[in-house]
Parts: sequence; structure tokens; C-alpha cells
Amino acid sequence: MHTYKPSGLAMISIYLFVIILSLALCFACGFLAMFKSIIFWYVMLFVIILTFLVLTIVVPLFFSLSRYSVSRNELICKTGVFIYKKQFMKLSSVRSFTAIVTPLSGATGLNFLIVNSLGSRMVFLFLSRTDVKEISSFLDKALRKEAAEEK
Amino acid sequence: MKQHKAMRRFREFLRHRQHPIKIIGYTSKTMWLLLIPLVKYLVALKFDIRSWLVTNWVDILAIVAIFAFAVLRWVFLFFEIDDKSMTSHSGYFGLAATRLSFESVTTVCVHQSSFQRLFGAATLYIDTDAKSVSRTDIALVLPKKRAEHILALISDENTQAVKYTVESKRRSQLAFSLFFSSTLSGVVIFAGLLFEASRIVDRKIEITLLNTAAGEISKYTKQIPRFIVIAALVIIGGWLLSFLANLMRYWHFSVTRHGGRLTVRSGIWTLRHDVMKRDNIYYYDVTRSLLMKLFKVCTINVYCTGYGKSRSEIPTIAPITTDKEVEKTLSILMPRFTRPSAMLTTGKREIWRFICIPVVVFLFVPVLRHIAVFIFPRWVSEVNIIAFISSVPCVWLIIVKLFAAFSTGIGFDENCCVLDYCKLYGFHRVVIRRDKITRVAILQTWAQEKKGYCSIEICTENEKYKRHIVKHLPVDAAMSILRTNGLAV
Repeated sequence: MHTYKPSGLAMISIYLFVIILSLALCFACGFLAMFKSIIFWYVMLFVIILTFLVLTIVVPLFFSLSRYSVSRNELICKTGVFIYKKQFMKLSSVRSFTAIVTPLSGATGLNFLIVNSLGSRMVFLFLSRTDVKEISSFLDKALRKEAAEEK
Repeated sequence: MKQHKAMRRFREFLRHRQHPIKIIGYTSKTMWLLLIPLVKYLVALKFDIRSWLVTNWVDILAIVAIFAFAVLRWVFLFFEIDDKSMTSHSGYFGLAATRLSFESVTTVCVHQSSFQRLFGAATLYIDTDAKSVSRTDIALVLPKKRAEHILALISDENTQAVKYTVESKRRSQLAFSLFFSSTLSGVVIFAGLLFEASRIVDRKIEITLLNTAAGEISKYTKQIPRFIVIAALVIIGGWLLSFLANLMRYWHFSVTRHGGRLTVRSGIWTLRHDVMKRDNIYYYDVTRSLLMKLFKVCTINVYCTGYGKSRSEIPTIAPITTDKEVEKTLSILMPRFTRPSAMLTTGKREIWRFICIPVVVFLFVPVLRHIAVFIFPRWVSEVNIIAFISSVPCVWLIIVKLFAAFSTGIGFDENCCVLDYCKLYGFHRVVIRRDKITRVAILQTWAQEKKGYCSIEICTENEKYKRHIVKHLPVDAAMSILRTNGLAV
């Protein structure tokens, strides 16, 4: 059984994205607060608190708790922050998979793998590019083998 | 001789085309917006065709173009049938072809609306397990006899197997319509009618209709605010409409098991004849509300690709049946499904876990009422009424969840898996064939993790993504059951 973790690069990318987004929002709120209404100061305060919570609790928890395992018989996905979810899918019920590799994903770690079966799906988030390739080739072989056995 | 040959060719052409009534379906709805003023002009001009043509030639040309385009679509869409497969051609010049073999068909339905009945037409729906298209694989409007012939061909109705039929009583059908009529669906139907009418006539009709009705009722109930009267009107009217729609849909309901197929017939307004492959039924669901649970009645739904696909339809095989008759009905209609008993259940110890969230929501109502009164001090009486109305479903939900604590569980046997759970106000007993389970998940909130509880989520092969969640089970026991049945590591 191979176990994979979300990529650390993806964590840095998310940190950068959240910080840039919240800074942009704060600037916009500050600009509006000077000319329009005091309510924008409250909005700005809310944005700052939310960003702080996301950066200190949600993102680190998600990356430390998430684990993906692939074995000969099944796929296991453990993920979640407020609700922890362990998912099990038999390899025999996998019908297709979609690997999403974004541009510059070698540096950002923004790679995803969606495994589809009839009526359900399993999503592996923020894998490194090599992990996505490894899991994809494993699933590809498994699907080909199953198709050959059916024939 | 030549005439005879041409006639035969024309007949052959028609044999592979849909019923001509479909041309009206292909015309744009905006055609009616043009047609009504045109007729008005014709009447105003006292049927002086020449001046009518001179003044309205652009509109007439537009209508002719719309109609011609509809005819072209009708001509381009044709189908071919042999003993084992069917090919439907669509798109320009029939270039796009959908071919399906009868072996892969899961459900085949013939529905005839009252409008279609006037012209002897019916709609044939054919569905397979191919998940490439979310809508019906093939839908054709055909002459009724032809549609029934294709249905018989696909479902192989001539087999010598014994037929077992379950018919529901009229009293049961009334009760079913009563239990399953919701204001929401009624309002959706009503809104749909008003929307379609307003597109053709005017939007004012919608406002006038509601205001007139509210005004009439307000004469007798002057003390009640106008918007409360309108809300009550919408709720009662919506429910009544939904009740009538349900009654017409499930009247004369009968199910027949014949070989490997289940045949369902129902309806008076729209006649429905649905045939599904029994092997392709993913699971069945014995559903009941709290009232139904108290009266010991339930309804049995089955989930198979194509059956009850439309949003307003319930995929039922027994609209209403008593708890005593469930076993008998299932053994007649679904003999391949075993009925395992729940191995792991919840009880007294889990009551607080079940009612916790509804109680918190209920306690929020007075808090929200105080905030609303603070913001809108002039509207105290209205806010009080709304607070009272919104607390009723909360109290009902608390009662439902109290019952849910004693009717939640999970169990397995060699062939099937049983899940007893409560989702919002409905109680479900779902029996799934084990080979149809595709994904299992264990869900834990922080509180559940601390106390050693979890929820089990099971997904099955299905047309749509559908989850069954059994809540508040002891995590160790749940994991051990899943492990022994090969569903978790």
C-alpha cells in the first residue's frame, strides 16, 4: 500500500493566494471606509480575522490530516477539517479517472485526481506532479487489466 | 403504378419518422407571441386577407420560417429498428446517430399525455446505464401503437414466464396523494403555469390573480395582514394543486413482475407504461414520514436508471402499503433482494445526539424574533406570527429525531445491506445489493471523535450522485462491521 500526502508546495501556494486576496480586500475596504461609511472598517476587521483563522487553523489542519492510500484492492482517502472523512473505494468499482495538472504545477503543487465510479467519486486534492503521475499510471494499468479480464 | 410506388415510399418515410404532432413541439414558443397578435389583427380587419398580408408580412414570414425550421428538424430526425437494436438519427441531415442494443436497455417507458391522446401519439423513452448523457438516451414522439410495439420488442413481453401483479387500492392512492403532496411542488406547478401564461399574455395576470384572491379573502379576515393571507393562499393552493397532480399521476397504479422485468402502469391525465430490467435495480427504499410511521403505512421506491427520471416523479412500485403487506409485496416483486436485519442500531443513549441540532435551531427562533423586533419595531405582530410559524417545523423535527434515535441502524447479509436512517423529516429503510456499493465513508465531527461515534456514508451505483448517511453509530463497532464485510480497511 502506497500512502501519499498533499504537497507542501500547494500549502505555500494557498498561503500566498489567501494573503494576496485578503490584502486586496483590506485595501478596497480601507479605500471605501475613508470616503463612504464606517461599516467598511467592520468588514475589514472581519476579513482580517477570517484570514487569520484560515491561515492558522484551516490550512495547516487540512494538510496535516489529509492522507491518500492506494493498494491493489482499494483506494483510501482521509481528509477534512471540521468533519473528518475516511473514504474507501474498491478498485473494481473504479470506472474512470481524471488527472488535473495545472500549468507550473511543479512549483505550485496544484494537481488533482478525480476517481469516478458509477454514482460516486473520490477527489485527491493538492498532490505533487510525480504523485499524480504515479497514481494515474497505477489506475490506468488496473483499468486495462480489468477490461482484459472481462473480455 | 407509379402513384402506388410513391405512396409506398411515403409510408416508409413516415414509418421511420416521429408523429407529425412533434412538429408543434419543435416550433419555438415565441411563435405563439407572434401568432396571437396576428389573429387579433385578422379579426380587427374583418378577415380582409389582402390588407392583413400587406400590414403583417414580416410577422407572417417569421412564423413561416419558424414552422419550416420545425418541419426540417422533424424530417432530419429518424430512426431504424431491427430485432436486437435501435438507431436514432438526429442533428442536421441525421448525421448524429445514437445506437443502442436492446440488451443494454434498463428502462423503456411509453407516456401519453391527454393532448397526445387527441392525436393518437405517445412519447417513448429509452434509457441505458451509459452515464455519458444525464438525460434520456432516446426520446421519440411516435404513434401510440408503434411506441407500444417497440416497448414490447425491447422488453420481450412475449416470454412465457408467469406474471405476478400487485395493484394498489383507490383508498391507498388517495392516502398516498395526501401524504406526498407538498406545497413546494404545488407552487412550482402553479409558478410554471403562470410563467407560461405570462409569456404568452402578460405578466400582469400573475399579480392580478394573487391580489384578487387575497383581496377576496381579506374581506372575511380583515384583522390578518395582507401578506400573511397571500402566503397562506400560496401554501394551501400549492398543496391542493400538488395533491391533485399526485392523484392523477398515481391513479390506477399496478406493478407486474414478468420474467426479468418489472412493468408499472399508472395515471389518468397522462397514461404511463414503464418497463424496467430487474437486474438493473440498484436498491429499494421503504420510505415513510412520521405520520405514516404512526399509522404503520409506507411507500416502496426503487432506483433504476430511467425510472422516475423526471424531477416531479416518484420512482415508486407501491405508492402506499401497510407494514404488514411490505414483506408480501417485496417477495412478489423483488424476490432477488434479501431482507437482512440491522446488526448495529442506536437507542436511548443516542437520543441527545439526534435532537441536539433541532433543539439548537428551535432555541434560535426567539433570539431571531428579538433581533427582528429590535430592527422592525412597527412589525411586532407580523414578526410574532412568523416566529410562531417557523417554530412549528422545529418542534416537529425534534419529535421526528426522537423517533429516529430508535430507528437507525445498519446490517449486512450475504447478498444485501440494509440501512435504516432518517433524513430531515423522512424515515428510510434502504436495501442495497452488496455488489452495487461503490464507496463507503466514515464521517466524524470533533464532538463525535471525542465520544467515539461516527456517521457511515454509503454510495451505490446510481444514475445520480446519491448518498445514504446513517448517523451516530459507535465508531469501533461500525468499523468492525464494515471490515468483516470487506468494505473498509
